Amino acid sequence: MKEEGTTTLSELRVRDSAPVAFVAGDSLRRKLESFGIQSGSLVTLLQKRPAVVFQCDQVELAVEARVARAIHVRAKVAPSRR
Amino acid sequence: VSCKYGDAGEVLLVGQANVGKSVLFGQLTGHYALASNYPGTTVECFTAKGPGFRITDTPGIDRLEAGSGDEQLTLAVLRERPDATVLQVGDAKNLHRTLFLTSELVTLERPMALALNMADEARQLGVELDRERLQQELGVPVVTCTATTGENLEQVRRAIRDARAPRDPFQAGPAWGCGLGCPGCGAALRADRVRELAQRAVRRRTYPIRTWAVRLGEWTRQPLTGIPILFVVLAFFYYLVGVVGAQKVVSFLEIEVFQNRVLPLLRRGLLDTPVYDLLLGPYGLISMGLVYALAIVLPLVALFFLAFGLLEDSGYLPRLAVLADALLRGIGLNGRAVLPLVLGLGCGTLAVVSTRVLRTRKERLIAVLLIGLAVPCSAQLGVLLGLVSGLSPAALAVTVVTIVTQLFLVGRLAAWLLPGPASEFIVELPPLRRPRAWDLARKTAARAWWFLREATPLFLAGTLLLFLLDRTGLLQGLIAGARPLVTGWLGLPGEAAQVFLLGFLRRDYGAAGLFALARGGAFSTWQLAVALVTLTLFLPCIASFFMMAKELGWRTAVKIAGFLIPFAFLVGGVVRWVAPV
Repeated sequence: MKEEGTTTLSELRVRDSAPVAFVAGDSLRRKLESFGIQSGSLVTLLQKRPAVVFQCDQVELAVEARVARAIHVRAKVAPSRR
Repeated sequence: VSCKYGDAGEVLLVGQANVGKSVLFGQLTGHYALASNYPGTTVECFTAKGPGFRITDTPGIDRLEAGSGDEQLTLAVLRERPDATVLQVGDAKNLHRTLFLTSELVTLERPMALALNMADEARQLGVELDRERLQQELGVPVVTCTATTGENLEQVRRAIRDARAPRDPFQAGPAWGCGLGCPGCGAALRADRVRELAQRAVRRRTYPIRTWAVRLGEWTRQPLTGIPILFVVLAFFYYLVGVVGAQKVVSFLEIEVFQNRVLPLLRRGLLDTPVYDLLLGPYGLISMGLVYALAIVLPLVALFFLAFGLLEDSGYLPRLAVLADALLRGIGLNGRAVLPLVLGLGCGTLAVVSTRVLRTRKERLIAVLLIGLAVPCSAQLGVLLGLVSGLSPAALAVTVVTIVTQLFLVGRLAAWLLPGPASEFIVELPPLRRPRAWDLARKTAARAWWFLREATPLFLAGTLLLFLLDRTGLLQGLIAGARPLVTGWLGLPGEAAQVFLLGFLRRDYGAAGLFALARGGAFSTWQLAVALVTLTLFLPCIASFFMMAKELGWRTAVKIAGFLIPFAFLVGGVVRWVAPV
C-alpha cells in the first residue's frame, strides 16, 4: 500500500529527515497528532532498534516498529533496503 | 460568553504529560507534589489552596479523549467542575504540541489561561515565542515561566486572575477543504491551523550543538552503550542499597543505636513494670516492631528512593523503556510498563497505583500480577542484598534465576491466557536533566515519611498480634500447624514459620524478620535461598493487596492472592527438592 514517492518512517536511514505524508490508522493518527506529528511535520529518524526513536520539532519519541511502519513519509532519498 | 472573566476561585492545571504541572502546582500552592522527569508521575488529582484560589493538579493528558485510567481522571475532573478556570500548562519549546491540546481546550469555552513552562530550556534551544501574538489570537492570557526556578510565577498568578473564555482561532472556515464536508476533513484542517499558528508564533530557531546531555541521552537508549550503562546503574543501586544501606547504615542503627544504647536504657527504666514484655520482650512493640521499622526497613527504603529519584529526575527511565520494550513484549506488556515495574522495586503499593499509565486492562492485570509475584520491594531488596553475603554463589544464582524465570514464565502465561490486544508502545523521551539536589532531598524525604506513616502502624499491629499469639500459646500451635509446610515441605527451621506469618502482614516485615533470623545463624545457605525465593514470590503485603482491590476490584485481587500464596510455596519447595540441601 505504498504511494508514489512515499515510504515509511521505518525504512528511512538513521539521521535522515522527511516530511510526514500521512499516518495510517485513525486512532494512531489521533494519538500522534497530539505529539505534533501530522501530515507535513518534519521527522528525523534517530534509531531503529530495539525500538524506533525519532524526533519531530523538539519532541523525541520512541515507538515500536509497528507504529513506525504506519507513519508514511515523503521520501527525498531512495529508501535503504536491508 | 466571549468576555466572561473566570471565577479564579477554582483552578485546574491541565496539560500534556511531563510539562511540569506538578512542579508549578507546588510553586503556586506551597504544597509539595511529587514531580519527576518522566511522563506519568501524577496519576491522581491533588487539590490545595493557593493565595486567592483553590488549585487542582491533574494527570497529564495528550488530548481530550481518554486512553488510560489516569487520563480518564483528568476528563472527569474537567466535567465535574464546569465553572473552574483552566490553566493549561504547556512546553515552551514545543509550541506545536502544546497548541494541539489548546485547540481542543478552547472548544470547552471556559475561562482559561496558558502557561508555557520550561522557558529556560526553550531559551537554551534558541526558541523565541511571540507571546503577544498568541495572546491576541487565542484571546486568553499567555505567559512563559520556569516552574523549577520560580521564574515568572507572579505573571502566572496574574494570568489565572485574568483568565477568560478563549476565541477559537483554529476554526476551519468554509474556504478550506473540498467543500464536501466529510467528517475527517474538519479535524485534519484544525490540525493544520494548529501547525500554522505554531509557526507564526515561534520567532527564531537555531539548533544548538549537541550538548553532553544530548549525547548521554543517545547512549542510554542504544543497546550497545545502553546495556553497559544499565549495568553501571544497577551496580550503583546495589552499592547504595545493599552495601551502604544494608551493611553499614542498618548495622549501625540496629546494633549501635538500638541494641547497645536505646534498648538497654529502656530496659533499665521499665524493669519490673507490667508493660516490659509488651514493649521490650521477644515480641515487643519497641524491641521488635519499632526496630524492624526504623532500623532495618526505613534506611533501605529511603536509600532506594534516593537512587530511584535520581533516575526519575534525570529522565533515564523512559530510555530504559526503549531498551526493555522487546523483553516486556514477550510477557504481554511493552516498554511503558518499565515505570510501574521499576517503581515496584521501591514499593509495590505505589507501583500498583502507577499501573494506571498502562493502556489496557490486560496490561494492568499482568503488571499487577508480576509486581505481586516477582518484583521485590526496596525493603525486601535491601534485605536480600544484605543477605547476599550469607549465600554461596550457587545458592545466589539459583535464587535470582528462579525469581526471574518465574517473572517471565507467569507473565508469558498470563499474556497468553488473558484476552485482549496489547496497546502500541509510544513513549516520549524527555531531555536528560541534571537532578537538583534540593528537589531530590525533598522527594526522598516525602516518600520516606509516607512510608513511615504507612508501614509503622502495620508493623506495630503485626508485632502486637505475634505478642498476643505468643502469650495465649497460639503461636506455638500455629508454628506446629505450619510445620508440615515450613519444615516438611520447605525444609526450613521451625522459627521460619513466623517469618511467613509476618510476611502476610507486610512482605518487607517478613523480610526483616528473615534478616534478623539469618544473622542469628538460623539458616544454612540453601535454606536461606529457599526462604528468600518463597518470601519474594509471596503476596507483597496487606497494603498492596488493598491497593490491588481498590484499583482492579476485590474479585481480581482475591484471585491474584489465591494464586500467589500457594504458588510461592510450590516454587520454594521445588527449589528445596532440587537444590543440594
